[in-house]
Amino acid sequence: MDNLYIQKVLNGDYTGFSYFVDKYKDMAYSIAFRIVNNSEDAEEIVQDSFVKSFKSLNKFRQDSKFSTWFYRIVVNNSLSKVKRRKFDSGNIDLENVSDIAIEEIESTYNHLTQTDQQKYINIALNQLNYEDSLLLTLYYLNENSLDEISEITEIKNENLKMKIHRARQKMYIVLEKELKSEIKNLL
Amino acid sequence: MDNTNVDNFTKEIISGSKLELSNPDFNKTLMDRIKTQNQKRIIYSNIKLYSFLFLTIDIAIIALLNLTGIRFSDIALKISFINRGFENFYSNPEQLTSIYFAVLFTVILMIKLFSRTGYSYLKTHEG
Repeated sequence: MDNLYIQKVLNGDYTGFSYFVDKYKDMAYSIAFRIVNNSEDAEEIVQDSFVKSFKSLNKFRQDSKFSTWFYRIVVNNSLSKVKRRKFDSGNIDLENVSDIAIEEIESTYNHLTQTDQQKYINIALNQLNYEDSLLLTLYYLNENSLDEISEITEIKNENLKMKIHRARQKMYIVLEKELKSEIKNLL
Repeated sequence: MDNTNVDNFTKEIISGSKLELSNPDFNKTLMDRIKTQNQKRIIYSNIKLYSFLFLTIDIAIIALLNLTGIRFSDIALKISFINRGFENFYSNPEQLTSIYFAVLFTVILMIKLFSRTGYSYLKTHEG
């Protein structure tokens, strides 16, 4: 379907581009937000990325998915923004990682309302550095393959599995801490 | 908990982190920008096309002038005479008139060839 609309746009019908806007804007926004951690900047990045992809659509070789190519543009634009603002990524200690009781987290998490679940997962992701947060978003939320993530992030494929695994552990450390304070508040 | 279950649970909780653009004007603003970009692209490609056409016509004119033995300097000289108040307009009227007629003839020929009337005329007199 994407290829059909690409041809439509390349043939001069710019209105066909709204198909891509509707389909990819939210995921692009999620990706940009995970890197810049600011909604206004993320929205601006998504706009600029769409315009950039429209301008260079004739250079898109179609040997990968449009989404992979487009998300790469979003990541590049977001990283440029972060560099300009000297974004300081948080560090989470992985030393005590074996102590994490995921069953316990799952049990507590499942007792939360949907709104609270969303609140806590966003808190946890915001506390990770942008690379960890982005990898988790691409792998678990957008269900991209490792090859696609490698193309989007330019991280070598062989390192990705380990990075995703570590990112997941870091997320659970933060989530556990946040949920414990939630339980304390409830008691 | 085994790795597959952790993976499934992670997928489940991260699905709650999906963000959505809340700006209702986002699509309109973006499509306006796309429209502007599209217009720029059309203008740019037209400029390239017309530049190519003009260049081709210029080269053709130069080639024609070279073939007929008329030099550019002659034309430039005539034009400068005209600009100075026509005092030397008739210094070599045959040459100048022939150029004007050649240009006029070309324009008429092009109108004949490319206008609808010219096309119909050619179609009517075909064969």
